[in-house]
Amino acid sequence: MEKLYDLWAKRNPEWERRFEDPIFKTFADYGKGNTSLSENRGKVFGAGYEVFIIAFFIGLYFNQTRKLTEDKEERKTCGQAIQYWGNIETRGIRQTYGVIREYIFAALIAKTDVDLISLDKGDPKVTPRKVVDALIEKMEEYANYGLYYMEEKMIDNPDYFFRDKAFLRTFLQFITTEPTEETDSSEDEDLPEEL
Amino acid sequence: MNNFRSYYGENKFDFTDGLTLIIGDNGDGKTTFFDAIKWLLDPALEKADINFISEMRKSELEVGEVETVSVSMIFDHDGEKMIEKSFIVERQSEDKFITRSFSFKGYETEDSERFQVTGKSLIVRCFDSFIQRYSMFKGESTLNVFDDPDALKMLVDKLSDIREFDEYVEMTQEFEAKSGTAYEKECKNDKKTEREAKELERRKEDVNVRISNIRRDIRDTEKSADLFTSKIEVLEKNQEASERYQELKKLIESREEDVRKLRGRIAAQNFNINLLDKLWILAPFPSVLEEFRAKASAFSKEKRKQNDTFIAQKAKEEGRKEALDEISSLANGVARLPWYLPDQETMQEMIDDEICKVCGRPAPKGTDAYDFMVAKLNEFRKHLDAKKKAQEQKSEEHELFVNRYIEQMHNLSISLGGSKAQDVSELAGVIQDQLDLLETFKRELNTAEEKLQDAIDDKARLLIQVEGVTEEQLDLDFHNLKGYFEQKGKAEKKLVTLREELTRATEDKKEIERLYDNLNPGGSMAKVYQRVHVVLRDIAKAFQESKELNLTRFLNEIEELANKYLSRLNTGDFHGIIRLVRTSQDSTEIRLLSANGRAITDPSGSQLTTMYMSVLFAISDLTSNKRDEDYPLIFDAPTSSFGGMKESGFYNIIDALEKQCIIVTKDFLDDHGRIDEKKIDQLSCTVYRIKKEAGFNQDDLSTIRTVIIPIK
Repeated sequence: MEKLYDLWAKRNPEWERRFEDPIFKTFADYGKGNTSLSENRGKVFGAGYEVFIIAFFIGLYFNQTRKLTEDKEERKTCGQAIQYWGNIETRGIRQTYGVIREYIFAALIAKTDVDLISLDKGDPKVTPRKVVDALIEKMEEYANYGLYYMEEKMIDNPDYFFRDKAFLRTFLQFITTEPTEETDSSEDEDLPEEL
Repeated sequence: MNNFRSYYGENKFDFTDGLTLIIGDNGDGKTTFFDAIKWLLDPALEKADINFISEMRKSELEVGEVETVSVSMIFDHDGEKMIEKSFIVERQSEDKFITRSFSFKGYETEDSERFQVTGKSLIVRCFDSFIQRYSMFKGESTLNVFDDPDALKMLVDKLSDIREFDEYVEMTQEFEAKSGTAYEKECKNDKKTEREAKELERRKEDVNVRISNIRRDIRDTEKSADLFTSKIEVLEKNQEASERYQELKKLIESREEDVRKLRGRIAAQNFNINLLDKLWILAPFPSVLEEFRAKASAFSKEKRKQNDTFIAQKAKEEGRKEALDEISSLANGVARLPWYLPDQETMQEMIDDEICKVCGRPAPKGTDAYDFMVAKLNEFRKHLDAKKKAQEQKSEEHELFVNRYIEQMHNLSISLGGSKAQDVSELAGVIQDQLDLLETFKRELNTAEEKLQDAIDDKARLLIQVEGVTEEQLDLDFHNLKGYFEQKGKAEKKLVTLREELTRATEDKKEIERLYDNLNPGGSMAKVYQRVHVVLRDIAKAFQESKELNLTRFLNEIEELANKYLSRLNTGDFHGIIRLVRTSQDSTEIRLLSANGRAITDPSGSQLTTMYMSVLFAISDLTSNKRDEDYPLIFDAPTSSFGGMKESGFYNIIDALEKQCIIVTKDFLDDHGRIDEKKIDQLSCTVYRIKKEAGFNQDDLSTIRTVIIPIK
């Protein structure tokens, strides 16, 4: 019996083709394979899946999904299956971070409505393939929300994500909004607005 | 000025009798003002220059359109006069401009009638190059007019009567030479002195050659001694500055290194990449992780619960079936013992003992009772086997859960818990620490950059203080100094020897002359020649000495005037005494001495500037006296080495001098280009502020235009 994680990791999630130029090619060396040269090219990230991961977590932390277009022609994949994500060449300034895949998987299990009881019972209506399909769909929808979020920010200000620490700030908002935080740092003003 | 460089359109300055101040910041058009006047007044420049047209005006020109560039000046010099230089610029195509119609005109007024002359002739007549040379100065470093070795000669020529005396000096020298030659000739022809005179002539020729050779050697050696002296002077004078320069250079290098390191540290903080590489993106993840773990745990619990229920239910079902089996096996409705009673051992015991211990009757082998007991034991064994088989079957076929996916989730949950969960929950703190660290680096960088700038500023100030000395000179290796001293010492030793030789040769010459004088020729004509020659020699000597005296008096006159100005320009401050010292090559150096006659070796920039200006004012006074004419003095930025206090006193005094002065400066402006009105109020002179018209683009010359604002 193959592990559910392994089945999931062999897949290659999709995103809407419309983001290829404005986002994937803008922030990553999309279409050029796993690379650690991104810094030299002035890009923020290396492979295209890194943009996907960023978008996924934006959707996840906002807890917002958005359905992808039904038109299969208007969708693209990241070029690499999930199982290779984060296996950056360690020479150069980047570090490998493959462990992130387990957290993505855990988040998907947490957030997707799957009947694991029926799956374990061997119910023919709930096959491993169907469960993995549901996980991938959830994953794509979170990322799709994140991509729309990024696009909107960039329409307001094309340089939004090129500012110092812009992506980090995007994620810091999910921490600093916790009520326990009372720091009134000046950076708060610069934090992206919540949608 | 019309369309001259940054002076777009028509621009006008009125110069009053005393001081006119033109105040502007860097790039506001100060030097352009000075250059415009220089261009106008230089009679040698009789050509248009396309670079002179205002870029702003140039950019506005339509193809085919023309514009005039001109500078003109109205002045008073033996009646009102005007000069004007102008040319026309035409735009021929989008990027082609041509100049034409250059003109240099002068106008004179006579009996209220104005007539035109050439500009060149007017300037040569009214403001010749000599006057210009002592009237117009660009920057502090051009103020020392005696840097030019011909300056003294020119001043003497133009401003004293000494020159007229030169004719007499020459004449008497010629008389002396001629009478000498005539006398010598007579002596050679005189029978009595013929032999001696020939011998003396030979010796005289020899000694003359010797003297001229020695003099040439002295000149050469003096030159090389001077060269090494000046090299040593530069090194010594700037030794302190040079040491400070070296210090600053090292300091700048080490501070640059600090800045580089900090920039590197800041650049290494790639926060966007850390989101992935250092898993910072998981900082908000703890709640999701909690959700996952709760869900995995819930599934696991539910699965176990369902499984337990299933097993219990099945067990119950099986128990009921067994009971049913036993009940249904009754043959005649009478309740019989279950198959497991009596048990296997009891049964075996009863068979062995051939007695039924249930009813207490004997059951010997071969009886029905005995056979019953054996059958009962076999049945028991069959039951046990069947039960064992059934149990095996049950465990194989009747599991509720066939997959173990939930266990996988549970395992993942366990693996993501513990220290890993701890790590994730600490990420927010880690990020904050890194951000704090970055802020610390940035603050350190700011400080380091400020420190670097301080050192760079110190260096720039040092270079201003040692004006005239280049950075390369300051960077010179002091090891050269020893070599220079050695070479200078050699040259000086040689000079001593040469001078001694010269003295000897001169003595020899005198001796020859004496011998000539003492010749006792027989002819009476020769005797007359002898006496005439002696008289003419004394006269020539007297004229030569008077010439020297005149020059000394002239220099004393300049000195005296200059010292008056110096003490006025430095009222209440130490200023020293100006001495004009004649150097070997008939030129003069300006020196500043203290009252005890010792040279002030390292005068400050403002001391030097006021010293030079005093000499200039003195020369200007002499010019007025000699020519009965007055000329304006025009200075571009003469006070760059002054401190703020010094400069305002300086202007107050110039303001009070009755001398037409135009000074272009950025004094009176603060760092933001605001004018210091308090200081301006203290002055009685005319003041203009020139500045770039607001709204310019600093990268586009065609947006820059100087505007002239009369302040008072």
